[in-house]
Amino acid sequence: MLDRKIAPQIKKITEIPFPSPTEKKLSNGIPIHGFNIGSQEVVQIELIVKAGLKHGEKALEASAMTNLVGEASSKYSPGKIVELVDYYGAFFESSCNGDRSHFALFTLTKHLNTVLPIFVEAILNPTFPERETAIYLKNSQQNFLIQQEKTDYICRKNFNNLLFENHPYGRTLSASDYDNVSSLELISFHNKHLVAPNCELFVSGNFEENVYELLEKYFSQIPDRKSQVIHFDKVVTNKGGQHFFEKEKAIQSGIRIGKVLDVPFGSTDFYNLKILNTLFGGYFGSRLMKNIREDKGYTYGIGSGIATSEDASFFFITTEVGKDVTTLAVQEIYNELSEITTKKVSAKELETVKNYMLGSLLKESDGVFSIADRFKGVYFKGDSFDFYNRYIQAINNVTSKDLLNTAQKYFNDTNLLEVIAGAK
Amino acid sequence: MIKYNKFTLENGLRVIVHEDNSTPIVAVSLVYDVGARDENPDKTGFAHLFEHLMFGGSENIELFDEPLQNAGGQNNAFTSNDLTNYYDTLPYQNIETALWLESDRMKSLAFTPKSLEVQRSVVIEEFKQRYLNQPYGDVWLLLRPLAYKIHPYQWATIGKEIKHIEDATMEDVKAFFYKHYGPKNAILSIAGNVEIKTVKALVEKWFGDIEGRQKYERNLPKEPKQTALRKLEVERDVPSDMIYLAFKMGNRLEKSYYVSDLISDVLSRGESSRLYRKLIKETHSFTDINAYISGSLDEGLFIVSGKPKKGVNLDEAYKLIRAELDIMQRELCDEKELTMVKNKIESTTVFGEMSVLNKAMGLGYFELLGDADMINKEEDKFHAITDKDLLEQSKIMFAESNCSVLYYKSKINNICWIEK
Repeated sequence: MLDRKIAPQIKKITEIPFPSPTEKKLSNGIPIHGFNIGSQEVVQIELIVKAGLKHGEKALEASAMTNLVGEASSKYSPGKIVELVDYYGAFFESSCNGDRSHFALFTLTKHLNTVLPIFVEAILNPTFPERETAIYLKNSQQNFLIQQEKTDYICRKNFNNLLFENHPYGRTLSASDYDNVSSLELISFHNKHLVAPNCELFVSGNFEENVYELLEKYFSQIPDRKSQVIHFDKVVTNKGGQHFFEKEKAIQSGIRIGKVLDVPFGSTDFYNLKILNTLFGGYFGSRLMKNIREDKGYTYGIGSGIATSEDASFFFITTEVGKDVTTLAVQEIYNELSEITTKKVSAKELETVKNYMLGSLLKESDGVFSIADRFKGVYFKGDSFDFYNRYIQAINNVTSKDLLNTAQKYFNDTNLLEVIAGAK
Repeated sequence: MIKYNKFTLENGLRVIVHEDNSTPIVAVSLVYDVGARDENPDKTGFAHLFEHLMFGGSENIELFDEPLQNAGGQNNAFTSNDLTNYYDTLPYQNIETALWLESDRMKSLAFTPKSLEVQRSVVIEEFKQRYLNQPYGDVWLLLRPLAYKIHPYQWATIGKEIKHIEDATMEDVKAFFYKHYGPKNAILSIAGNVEIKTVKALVEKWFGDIEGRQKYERNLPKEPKQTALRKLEVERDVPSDMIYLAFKMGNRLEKSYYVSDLISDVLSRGESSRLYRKLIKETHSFTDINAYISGSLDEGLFIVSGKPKKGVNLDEAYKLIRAELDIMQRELCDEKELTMVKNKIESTTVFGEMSVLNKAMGLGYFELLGDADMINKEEDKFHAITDKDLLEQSKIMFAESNCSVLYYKSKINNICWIEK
């Protein structure tokens, strides 16, 4: 007779193999990182450029630039680039964050030779035509106005603004910003930053080795000149305090609580904070979810995270709760924070978190694009795949005492910033 | 091409296994043949509420998530109008944990009052977060009853109103479980680094002793043919007007489903598609425009939605969209457009097969439709479609009498626009 109360034996993950990338350099000095390990006939080529939101004189420069690349170029009139790429079922994805712009091409390997030159032309010689730029800005402005109606957005925007008072990471947008960006500014932003010393290339998927020659042929056109280095001070602390932003008639409130973390990437404290965060609010079985969703039913979802950028790391808790239970939910969050800074985690809970984290790492490193993404995530922080070997070791070795010490070191202060957006 | 093995247990559970040795993980998908369309009109939102309860513990296992997480796994689930799909991914060595957990909750739930009480609140917060506290969040709560008068697609999976969720009782929960969650109403599909022989033995071990229970025979009222244009106008606190056109289209197995899907691609997939090019880029009369199909198993909807630019009113917006649909009804689309959308289908298929979870869920979905093998025939079905098929389908589908229109008007008029 089968005893259903007894769980099947489980095998622990003790290591995860990360295949090292092939490292090459173009003649203009741009590094290439290659992952030729795909099982499907697809390829992704990504150019990453030090041209993030923080580099723009205006808040919108980087995002408008990345979104409008692909619109038109010296060789192609508006709409032509996307028409050519769409035809082959390939697609461009461009985006930017605080530190960098990303331009990616995804295609079936069989169409790479055809679409690669179009991709390169689009990135290197964009013209940002006035008409298309104006349309893009107007549509984005419209979208911004809709975002501004969301309590969650209001909360996040003000939280970032208050957390990073003296760094462009905290810059907020207003509707009029969309009326104040010109084609000329975009051209100048692009020219200034798209230079070889700012660029890195990543190629991943399943491809012929001659791809490296193609990359040399096309991307060596990027001029090898120095760009003006803009220096930003690291943000190591923030002002705490409680802030309320009114959104009339909202039936839920957005809540965000957090603080800047002064911790070196990849250090023991960093790993311990990642583990602590997972346990606290980083997965479905976390304490925040168990208490505030699964026990109290105050919310559809609650979580916490640690975000790491070039000039700052920060911890944040985020949720949307029913208007009437806002105060109760905030209190429960502080109760949970107090809990992790005063009591040791039980062996059972720690074991589950460890196993969950190792399983997630394994899943996140499944497939060639995921592996490449994992690499990019650590490479730009000055680390290598060794980050993960140390991470796995840290997860395996961490004790309840280590976590209590970490919690006391980082969460026992009054620097927490609390932002609530909702109806009074 | 996804290779797989299929077998059926004595209790009626269908099982599909796909081996992929290139991955360290395995995906387990369990799809139950029940969705919001199977609900009582006075107790809507129940299939989805029930999905939440499936995580509240089963007969022999107190909590579903914890043992799975302990085995390095992750899981989630979704409910649609048609079906309910639970899925787990975990290191392939630990597949048995997923089978143990999934089989126990198929065998019997714990039915604890606390779980029902809490999940009612959670789902009510979900209702608020996704449908009420978002600009345009209630669109589908309005559009469904406008388009469907008889068929249960007239309500959204979240339910018609919060009250229905508040009123759910334990009796309802138990009845629903025994009616819909038996092995005969489920398909288990597994994809990843596994061997068919081992998997078969493990599935037999954990699912084999579950009693067969009844097969749910679906007998839904058929939506009568629509004969006149329907129109609904509402006003809300949103920054801009929005328009929705919903046309009735064929069910998931009809050829017209595939044709309609390609029509939506020609109209709105990517920036080189027609609506985007003409209504945003060329005339800039809209700030946003989309065409897509609801993807339903029964007779579904073909949707065109858009946000007209300030200064373009909803009647004008309607006419502009209508003009593009009229062209689809009048003229063959050109060779190049058709090749493009077919190339996109090919590329989506290949990219989709990169993930074992996608493959497991896809196999389960097509088996639910009738035969898992359809997953490998989809692309050919799209490829066989001609420009004439698109024209003929457009003529039927885009008839004005087949359309429900929603005008979603903005009450806010304080936005300052500076034309450049």
